[in-house]
Amino acid sequence: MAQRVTMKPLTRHLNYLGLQRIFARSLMRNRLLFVRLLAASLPLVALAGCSEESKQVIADPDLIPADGLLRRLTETQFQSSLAAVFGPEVPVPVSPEPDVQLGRFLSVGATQATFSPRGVEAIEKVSFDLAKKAMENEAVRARLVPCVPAATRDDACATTALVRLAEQLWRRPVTGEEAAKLVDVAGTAATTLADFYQGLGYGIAATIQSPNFLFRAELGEGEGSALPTGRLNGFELATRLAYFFWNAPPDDALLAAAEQGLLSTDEGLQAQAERLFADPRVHGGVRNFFNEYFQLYELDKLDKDPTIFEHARPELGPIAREETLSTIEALLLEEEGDYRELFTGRRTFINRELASVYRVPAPAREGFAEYVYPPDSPRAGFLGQLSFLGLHSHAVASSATIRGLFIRQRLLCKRINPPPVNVSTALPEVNPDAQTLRDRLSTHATEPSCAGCHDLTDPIGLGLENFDAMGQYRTTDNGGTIDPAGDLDGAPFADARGVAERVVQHEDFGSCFVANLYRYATGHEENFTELPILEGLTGELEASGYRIKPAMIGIVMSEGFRSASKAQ
Amino acid sequence: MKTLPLSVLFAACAALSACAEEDPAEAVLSAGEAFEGSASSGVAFGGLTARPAVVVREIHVAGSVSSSIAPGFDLDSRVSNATDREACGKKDFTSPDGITGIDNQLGAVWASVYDLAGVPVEGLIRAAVNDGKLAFVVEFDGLDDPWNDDDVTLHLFRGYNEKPIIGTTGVMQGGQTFEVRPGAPVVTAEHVSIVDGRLHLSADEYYLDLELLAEAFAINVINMEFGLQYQEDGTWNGYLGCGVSVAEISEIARTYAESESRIIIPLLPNIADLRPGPDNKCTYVSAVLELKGIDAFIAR
Repeated sequence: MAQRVTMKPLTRHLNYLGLQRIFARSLMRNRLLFVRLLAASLPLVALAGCSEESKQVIADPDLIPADGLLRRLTETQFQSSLAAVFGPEVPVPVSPEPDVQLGRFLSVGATQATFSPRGVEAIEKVSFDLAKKAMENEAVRARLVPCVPAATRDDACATTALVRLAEQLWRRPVTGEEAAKLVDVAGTAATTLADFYQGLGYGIAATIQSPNFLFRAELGEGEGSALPTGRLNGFELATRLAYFFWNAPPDDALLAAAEQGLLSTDEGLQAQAERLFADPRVHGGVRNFFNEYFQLYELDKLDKDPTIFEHARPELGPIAREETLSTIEALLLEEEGDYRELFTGRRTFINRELASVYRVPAPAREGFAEYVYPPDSPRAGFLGQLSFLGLHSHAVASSATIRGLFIRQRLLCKRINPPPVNVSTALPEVNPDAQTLRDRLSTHATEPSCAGCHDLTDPIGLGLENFDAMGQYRTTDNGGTIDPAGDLDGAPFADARGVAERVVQHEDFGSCFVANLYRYATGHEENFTELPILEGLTGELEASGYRIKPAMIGIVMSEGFRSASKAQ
Repeated sequence: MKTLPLSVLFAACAALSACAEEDPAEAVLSAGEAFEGSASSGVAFGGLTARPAVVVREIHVAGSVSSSIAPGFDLDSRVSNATDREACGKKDFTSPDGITGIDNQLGAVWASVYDLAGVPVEGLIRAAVNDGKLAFVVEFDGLDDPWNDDDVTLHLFRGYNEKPIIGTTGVMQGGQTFEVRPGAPVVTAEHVSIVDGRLHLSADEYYLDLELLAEAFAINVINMEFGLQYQEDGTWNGYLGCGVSVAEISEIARTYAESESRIIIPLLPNIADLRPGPDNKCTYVSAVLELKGIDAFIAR
């Protein structure tokens, strides 16, 4: 089905970069600073030419491709992308712009993220700082500059260095015009500073500040391309693939495959996907997916009342995140195990601190180590970990509603609207007739305006009430005996482990996982034409025994992953 | 000569650890709700058996409440008055819950020396406990119910944890894993009963094994009585009472705290109330420590 859509102005990103302001200010600065600003701005122009309309003719006629995207590198991608090029010898700066979440995903929020004027200034600073350190470090300089400059200004040597660097950072070949501008920046600065390497640092800084680095272009091919219109070109696909699997930029082999056109074939793309999954860097990609899917990034702000919880130390949030991610790595990558066991399994990875919270023996004197809960332990899986129990609670008490909401929305993909603004969400105070949370939440069950949504969330969350806001096991709440029994859409459970069993048996569990993995990979929420793709992927997930490798490769091979509408 | 402040001496009196009468035994331990799942055992430190225990995280010298009331134990099975020569004329106290014959002579003078030594002593003890140097551990064997159990074996020893985690309340947080300190004496008490959450044990002879300010001490204590009360919140509170040797404390004072020894050495004979010698002068001073414990694990 041919599709005609209207282009949203990609230049909105450029406007946010404040080019006019930068250039105006530059007039009042000295010549060198002008070169810096020029370095910062030159590559921006390269993307401006994308704003054209085109009819979409795509490989799958039933698919309406998602809008083409410019995805700002997330904070972790910003660092991994620089580290991949500059190596471990120089400290990689932190992205000055905070991530944005959309649909709880930072990688999807990146499609809406831009740079504030202050962010542009910060990027400029960190770019020059990094370039300076790189040029001052002999090992890094030798790696980045594989030639010996013959003079203070040596355009040939600068071209060799900068083209190579830009291709790595921009994840695509550099045009002659782009290279010439970068080399001119470096040459002008070298002449002014009377030093080749200092001048080259200006060229490097320009490369980093470029939107070609800061944004991942996933725009798709327009008319006139050798590829079907709507398909990502090879370098766009390589970039999407690399950040999906590794949360890091494509390596030389992947870029070479893109250049050779191998990614436009099923065989070539599958071979690269298999190769990337076999690479240890896949741990970074899978960790990042679950970091976003489970919103583990919010654990940096885990806040519990220290007067109530003696374990409420600031470092506990990141420790809890590591427990979950280590468990995921072991289960899904090292063993290529069943994703459902992440919720029902008795094995976890904890350190002394978490062992103390959970009241179990520490498995190691230092660091994280495997721990297997005894068969009669009330705790199992992710829903028994602090990263879930603590994050989805209040600072002073557990919350059946918040916990149930996460399970409904995030694990079962049920849309639940926020409470109306004119409704009080406060619970009754603890009293002799209402000691436990179940007692206090009974108001929601009897009030029709509340029950519609709370019936979907609270019964699930109440099943986890044996764990307090710090994730510690308990049998009473304010003196009342906790009754965790309930049901999930009619399927009864007796306790927290039963909740986990019911969640993974739910008919929406597999499809929800696939949908979230797909959204993360493609940077958008699926449209109705992509639903058949997700149905097929869900079937493959179930057939594979809920293994993540075939799920990820299946997404890569899907038309939705390989397509984007150039015009928006 | 090494010199320690006076506070060390008081801390030495205050920081009792169990001593060995017999070899440590393998204990299968369980506890109440504080421990998740199977209460009997777990795996720690790459394969070692780990069993539930209680670690003392707060130690305070238990002072007298009034001239006649003080917490503690009847260490000598006597209700002494000013004429009792076996107690060198030191009148016993009555406990706050009405038990007579309480021996706690250190507690009787504690208030008077508190300004001089009490604050530093408390700080010294707290630092040693939080550093893991005074991790006084009670390990249970065969505890089915922390409220009532008629046959429990206890192991008492000074535990080891290189860096205990300090919680938001400023003391060791619960649920941590300790080890038996290498070379630490362990005392085992069998067939101990717990009634209404109270456990109690006695031992005639012990020696104090402790470490304060990087100095190791070994002090003989006698007539030790140890009692803990299980609490609704899973903690254990109680007291430890014993007799501390006047001669040993005096020697330690002379050795490690020469200047302060001028205060402590004359004080001790005047409050000594246990085990009179041939000259009818008592050779040990009764002391009581208030203990607050939290659940822990012991990896063996």
